[in-house]
Amino acid sequence: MKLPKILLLLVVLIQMLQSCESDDGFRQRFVQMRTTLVNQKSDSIKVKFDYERQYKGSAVFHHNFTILPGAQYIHEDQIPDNQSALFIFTFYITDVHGKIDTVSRKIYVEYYRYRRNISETIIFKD
Amino acid sequence: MQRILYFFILSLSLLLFSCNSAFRGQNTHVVLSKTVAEYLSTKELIVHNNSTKKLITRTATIQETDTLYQLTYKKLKGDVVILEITDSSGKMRNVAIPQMKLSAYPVLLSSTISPPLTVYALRFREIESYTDVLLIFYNSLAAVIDVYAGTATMRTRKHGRYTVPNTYRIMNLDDVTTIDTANNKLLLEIPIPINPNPTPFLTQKYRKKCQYAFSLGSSFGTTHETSTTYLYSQTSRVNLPNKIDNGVWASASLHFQPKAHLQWGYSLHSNINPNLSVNFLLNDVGFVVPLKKGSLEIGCGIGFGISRRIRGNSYCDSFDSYKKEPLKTNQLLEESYSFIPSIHTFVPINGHIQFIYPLKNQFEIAASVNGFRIPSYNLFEKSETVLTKDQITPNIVAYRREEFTFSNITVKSIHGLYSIGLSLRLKL
Repeated sequence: MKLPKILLLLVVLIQMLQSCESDDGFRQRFVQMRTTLVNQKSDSIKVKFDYERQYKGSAVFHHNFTILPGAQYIHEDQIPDNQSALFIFTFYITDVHGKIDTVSRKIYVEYYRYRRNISETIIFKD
Repeated sequence: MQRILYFFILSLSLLLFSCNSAFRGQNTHVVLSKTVAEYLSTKELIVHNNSTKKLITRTATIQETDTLYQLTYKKLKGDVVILEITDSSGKMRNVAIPQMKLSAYPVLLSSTISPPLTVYALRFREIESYTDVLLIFYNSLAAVIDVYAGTATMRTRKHGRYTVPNTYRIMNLDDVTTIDTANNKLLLEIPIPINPNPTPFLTQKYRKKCQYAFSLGSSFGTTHETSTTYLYSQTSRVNLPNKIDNGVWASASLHFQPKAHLQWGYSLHSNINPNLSVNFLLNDVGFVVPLKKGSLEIGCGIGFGISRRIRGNSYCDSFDSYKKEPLKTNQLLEESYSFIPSIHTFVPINGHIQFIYPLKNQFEIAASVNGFRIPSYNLFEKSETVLTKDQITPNIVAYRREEFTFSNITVKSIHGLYSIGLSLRLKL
């Protein structure tokens, strides 16, 4: 009878110790970035958006779109928080009268020990 | 889960493994009358355990002071021992002396060092995974050491727990006068002493008796916050409330009363609150004062508790400075604290007074006033957001939010909890 008792005790001990197993694994964190364009003009606007991302080399993206009155455009990106990067946003906004405004924004990201989120809202008014 | 496991190991260690009898006195005494003491002082006195297997003997001596006369001998295991009186002419007399078995002292690792060490170590959340493993290993090791140490002291000091009851006295000379050894019948028929005044704690045969009381009760408690601190040297410019609401508490307890003036036991206290659950087990001890009808108990206790914040508010405020430096005119700093459900362990301390009044059929009712010192904890995720407004053109404005999420911040408050309640006791 001794062996089954010892085995039972071992099973109970292993079950107890299993409950103490740590669930801390490696989790990659990211810096979240969000840029929102809000059109509060009475007419729609045309936007030419150049997006330059200097992260492990440089990359440039071009977008063309129209934002209706009262509508908004959202651009999101993320990079691992242990990396450094520079993001350059350039918006060329053309209104119904053909007037062009240029808005340039920069976001520089570098390693920071705490979690970091960056968001920017750009509002266009009459 | 880990907290429950520690609690289980600790409780088991305390209950099973941490008793020993190493610290009991060497000698025991029988109170004598002056005439008996004077008579016995000229006789040869030997105490033995009356065993046919292994006879153990002790030499007894008479000690006298102005008011007290007593027979003293080194402790000897046995519910009844025999005092053998022999005089110079060879006459003898055997007298039975009742003894009672005392409890072992609960003084070993599991009952002294382990509980405060475990509670202290659990506070270091930064190295939690290592602490968990170390604590389980330590507590298991302490329990095993206690098993061996407790068993060793019980065996090596097996006589230490037997003592003569205080109420047993030899007052009549007739009980100790030696008789002729030829009269075998009188010499061998030794009357077992009978307790003339049996109590609920000492029977007619001088056997110890313990009373058990199981009680269920409820009370209303009000709290008073005495201090608030942030753990791990953290700070907050936003006031983070950390209250324990006034409310109803429920309790269940099991108490042991081995003596007329001593009561000890365990009581479990639990609050009834959907937002903050506080449960703690107290090991309390009380001094009982018998009254004309009923009794008064004054006691204190210390224990182990678990508090669980289930729901709570989040807080936010904005400032125009950072680390005492003013921000730019177009900037604002927002400090926000998001509530996180959390579980914490703590050590409650209690002082209480209760009036116990007997009802019918072993039932009693108790009215109690309690004062507790208990901490409460509140965990938040802290984030600071820099809000910047840039007027790019008269028609274009940009609002940037740069949010930094810091490590969690824990608020600790010490509360005085004062409660008044009623409980129903079943005494067995």
